[in-house]
Amino acid sequence: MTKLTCRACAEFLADYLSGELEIEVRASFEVHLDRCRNCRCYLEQYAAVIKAGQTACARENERAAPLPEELVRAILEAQKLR
Amino acid sequence: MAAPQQSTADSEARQADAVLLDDLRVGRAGAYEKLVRSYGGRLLAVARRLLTSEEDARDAVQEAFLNAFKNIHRFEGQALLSTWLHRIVVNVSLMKLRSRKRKPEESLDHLLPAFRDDGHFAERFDSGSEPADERLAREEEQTAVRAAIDDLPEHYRTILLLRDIEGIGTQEVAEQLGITPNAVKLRLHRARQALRTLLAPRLGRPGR
Repeated sequence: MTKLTCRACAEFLADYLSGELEIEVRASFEVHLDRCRNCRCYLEQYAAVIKAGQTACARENERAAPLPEELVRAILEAQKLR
Repeated sequence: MAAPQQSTADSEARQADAVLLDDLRVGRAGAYEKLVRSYGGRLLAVARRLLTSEEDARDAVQEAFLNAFKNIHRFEGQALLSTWLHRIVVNVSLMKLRSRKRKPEESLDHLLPAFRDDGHFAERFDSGSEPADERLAREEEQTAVRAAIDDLPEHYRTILLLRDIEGIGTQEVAEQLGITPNAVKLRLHRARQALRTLLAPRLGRPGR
């Protein structure tokens, strides 16, 4: 099994989270993770910011103000002209 | 339980879609307006994130609705109307992004982690007393998270928005932006790392 450095692990984070790491690399990655608290913390924070972006934007969508009235009118007028 | 509620909401949305679609297809008075008022606000939020210019975002929403009206007879109802409209406004926004004069790619190396010669991180990370995802999900953190996404250089922000927020696949993003799937994956990874650095002060320890 290949021994990975933190630098190599950092490069594999995205593929690890999406389940795209090859089995052998994944095993090496997880061995490193078991032994390296700093990489576990970095992985936790990396995953957290992905989720945080999704949460913030989902809330932004849910709370979106109605379309400005002039834009509603412009869209409906443009449709009539077609 | 979350799943049955989701299923009920989905079923109700499909029923509402079916009624509205019938009205749109027969040209019932007020149907177009109902579509625009029901979905316009969310579509404008999506376009604003991708385009940042208010004028461009409004243009994109208008164009998206006109495309939708034109193609409403092709909509087969397999997806929700909201999903279909979302894809249209993302595509229109991407066309607008592509038509802009290309800016030189900004570096975000200063936001990437540094390593020592032996391959270890140069910095020690602190997980703090509360899980990072719970901390960032707090209401008071939402503005900071959104601002951090907006602070990413455009080439990286666009890919992070398309992949992580709008849910577009790697291959499709690559085709839409005219770059390779590997370039999409690399930029996405760097964008996430940069976002982590920008949000580091909120994760328990000051960032680099």
